[in-house]
Amino acid sequence: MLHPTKRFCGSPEHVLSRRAFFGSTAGMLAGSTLGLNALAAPALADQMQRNQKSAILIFLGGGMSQFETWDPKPGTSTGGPFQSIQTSVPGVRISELMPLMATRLRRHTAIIRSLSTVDLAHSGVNLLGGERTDVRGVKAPTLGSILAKELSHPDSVVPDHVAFFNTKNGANFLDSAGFIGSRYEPTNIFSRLTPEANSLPPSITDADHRERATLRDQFNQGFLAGRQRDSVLSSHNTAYGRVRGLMASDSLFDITREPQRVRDRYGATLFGQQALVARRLVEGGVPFVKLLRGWWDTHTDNFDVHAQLVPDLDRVMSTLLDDLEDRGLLRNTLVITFSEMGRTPIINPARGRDHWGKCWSVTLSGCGIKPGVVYGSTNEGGTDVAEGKVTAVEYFATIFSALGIDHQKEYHAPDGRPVAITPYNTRAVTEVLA
Amino acid sequence: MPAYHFRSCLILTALLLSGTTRAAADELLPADRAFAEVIDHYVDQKLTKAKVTPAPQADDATFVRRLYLDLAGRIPTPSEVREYIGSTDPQKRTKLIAELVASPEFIRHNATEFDVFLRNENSDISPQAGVRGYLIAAFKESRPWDQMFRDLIGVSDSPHPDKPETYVIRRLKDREALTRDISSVFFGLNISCAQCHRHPFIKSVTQDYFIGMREFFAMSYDFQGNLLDRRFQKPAEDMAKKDSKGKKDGKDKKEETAKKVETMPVKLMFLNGQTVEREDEPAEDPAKAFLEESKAIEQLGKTYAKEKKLPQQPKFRARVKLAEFALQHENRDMFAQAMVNRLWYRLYGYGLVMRIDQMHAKNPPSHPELLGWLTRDFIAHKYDLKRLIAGLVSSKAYSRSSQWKEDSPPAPELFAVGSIRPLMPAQWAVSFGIANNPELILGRDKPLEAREKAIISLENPGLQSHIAFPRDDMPIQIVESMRLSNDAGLNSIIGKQLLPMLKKAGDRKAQITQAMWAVLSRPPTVAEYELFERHLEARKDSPDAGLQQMVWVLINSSEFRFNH
Repeated sequence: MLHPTKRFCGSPEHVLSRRAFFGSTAGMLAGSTLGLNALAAPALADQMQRNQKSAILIFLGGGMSQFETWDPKPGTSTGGPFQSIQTSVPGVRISELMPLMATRLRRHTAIIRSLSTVDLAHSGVNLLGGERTDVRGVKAPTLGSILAKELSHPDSVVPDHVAFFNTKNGANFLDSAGFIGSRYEPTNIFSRLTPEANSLPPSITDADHRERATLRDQFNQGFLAGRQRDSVLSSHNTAYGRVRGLMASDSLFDITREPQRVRDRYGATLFGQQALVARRLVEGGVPFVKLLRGWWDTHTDNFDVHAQLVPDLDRVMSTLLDDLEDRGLLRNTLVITFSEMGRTPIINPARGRDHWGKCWSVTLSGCGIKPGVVYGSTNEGGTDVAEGKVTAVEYFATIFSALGIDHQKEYHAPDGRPVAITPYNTRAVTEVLA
Repeated sequence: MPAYHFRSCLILTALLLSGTTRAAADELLPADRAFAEVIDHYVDQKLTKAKVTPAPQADDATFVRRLYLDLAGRIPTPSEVREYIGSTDPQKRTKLIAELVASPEFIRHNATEFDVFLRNENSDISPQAGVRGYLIAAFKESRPWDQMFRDLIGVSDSPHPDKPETYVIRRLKDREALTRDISSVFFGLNISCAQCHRHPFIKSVTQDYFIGMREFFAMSYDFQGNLLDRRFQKPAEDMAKKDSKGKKDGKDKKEETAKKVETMPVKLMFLNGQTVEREDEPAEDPAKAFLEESKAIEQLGKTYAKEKKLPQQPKFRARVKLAEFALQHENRDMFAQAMVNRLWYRLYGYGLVMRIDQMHAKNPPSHPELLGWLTRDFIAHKYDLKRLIAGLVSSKAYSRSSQWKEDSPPAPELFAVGSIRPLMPAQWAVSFGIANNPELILGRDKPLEAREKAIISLENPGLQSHIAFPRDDMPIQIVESMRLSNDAGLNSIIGKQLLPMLKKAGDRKAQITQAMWAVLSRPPTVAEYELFERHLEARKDSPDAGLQQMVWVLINSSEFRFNH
């Protein structure tokens, strides 16, 4: 029974399920501490990766157009100039701008064409929170932080949550850990490939740095004696213990360790290179990586801009999926595409499309997903959902389920209130789950 | 239901909610006893009952550091510690408490602490947007807590130049959060559960309670940065008319009836279940009156910059009524004990009631008579915060060692062992400054203004931002340790001013001793001395680096990071 002073609501509305109580421990215990050696020893990596799950979120910032990607409507008044092409899934066509993904749909990817959201204001943060209205007054964690927490191992020395941005500014698109603890805050990396704080300060050598940490640990033991009862105190000490380990994870971010042909495949763009780092991180046991690729907000010249950005996405995404598959990682890695909204069917006078939440597309590939499935549909002009409307939290529930996480699992907010990771009674889209 | 039966239901609920499981007055120790005596009497009583032997008293050096951190928000300088340890005055503890409570540091530290708890972790209010300016002024003049309450909800007789009522103004855009913050902060009872369903423990607390409490602020609004009240309410029929525009006929009528039912005026209800009479302004045509008032407000808003004229205020203001009601003789226990518990929690690391925002009869205090006595004293001395704080730190229970030598730690509500509390960012930053250069602190013989200035210069917001904000059981993040280990800027200032002083100290023994005194406010043990001696010996080719690393170790030790 929960301790009475911790428990806040015993009301029937917040009944804890047994499953929620037992969290998902299955994948976590396989030594993520080995992550750093894994890249040098592929066999070891294979054994380790069998259990460790990860997620990569490709967030298309600004609002990517579903017409020019996953749900084309050629030949209609809303369809725009591009054609559609046949994919490896019979009867399913996507934009001609994505030939590489077209051939990979059947092997890797499920599409949801009926995502329907409300917020039209570039508030990535709101979307990363699932547009929830049931968590008022509480700083609930966003999608990335929840995944980081659920998929990480407590003793891990690699970062739990890394986010890459291809712009200097990503303020509207930051994940936050909220009340689940700052360990799951993202390491945000803007316009570069490596984090900033990990390197030695110039004033000290690596050997001295290590010795200093050891000296500190030795000195600290005296104070810790007779004070083990306090968890915050222990966490302070552990935080220093993890520093050296985290610094060692610097090698994961170093793409010069990859053969040139691999780097070439991902392409010389920042987005491509960041995706390559993402693969290395996942391979090294990092549970969650976000790649924020901007900027898709095409109020003008929608077609010209998408003609540039979509093939780039096509190339990077297909390379990433192939690469993960080749290394045996894809079955334990979920690759998610998401955005803060879609774009309007109506083409405005500036040859652009504007903000649109009513019906747009997202995709899921890899771990726990049934590839080749298209769930939901839009009507002929793409002006409304025809079948299978999916909300943001239902999408999240699907993501959690694909990774073996109970999507009704409960956390407890600082005021004691239970907060489930998706609102009560949210259902996952089981049709896309393996 | 017969009237008397209804009334007794109300009274029963009132008792349940007021949480006064405090014993009848004749069971409490007399009011003229000293705080220390009373606190230790009740705490020791419970310890005896539980057959638990408490930890011994902390040694002088440890005690002084704890007291300075709790009252002045900083570590003591080595000379301040030595003075206390060396004194043979049997009253030295009482005198030190009195001295610290009168210091400029006390004012600033409490302004910081109160600013944090007033914010109530409301994530919509940025950390910079607090009421700290007002709080500094309030503590400077030793303003009583009931006056501060009135200031903060904007019903004070004389408006304060630092605008404490911005506390409410900032929360007007989210009335639910405002209700939750006011209830939790001033009355120790978070009823936001009751927003959606009845309270899990107090069955009679229904949505009415939440709505009733929220209603005290329903008419309040922000007029050009002033917290004012509307005279007329927005009529709900108005909304019904709006909705029915352009819809089919049959539907119209149903919606209008539904809206009419909702227009019954919402009761003002205090947290103890008592309803409070309201006297709304009479109006022949409420909708018209509302519109006219809105127009007037808009007009005055346009001319405000020049003319500074405020819209007419109603005679009856619910916020005023809230303050009156909450501080009335029968109701004021809730208000008083919430602050008593909160200060106890801050100083002892664990409340007499836990969680501190769940003070109700189904969640009784661990020491009901003690809470009762302290509450009675607080009220009797007109909500004097200084007196209460000074009293709470005078007991033996407060000054116990935080080390527990046996295997299983005692239940926290026994207060058998001293608490371990992480420093707040402000405490850390100021203490960091002192550890690096103890001479920055000016002695008590120097003028107050100069002393205050010295402290202000140490309250480095940039430095504070590196330190995690403590919350119940919240682990300390690796970002903090990473930065302190690797950030070039931070690493260059750690020990920067201390190092030259250490180099002048002479031999290694003197250097180690001085460093320990500066950072940890105590002399090294033999084992610690040997540990650093070995380290400095191994570094004898680069003695500066050796010293700097030693200082880094001390600054990053858990002992420095925590109040213990």
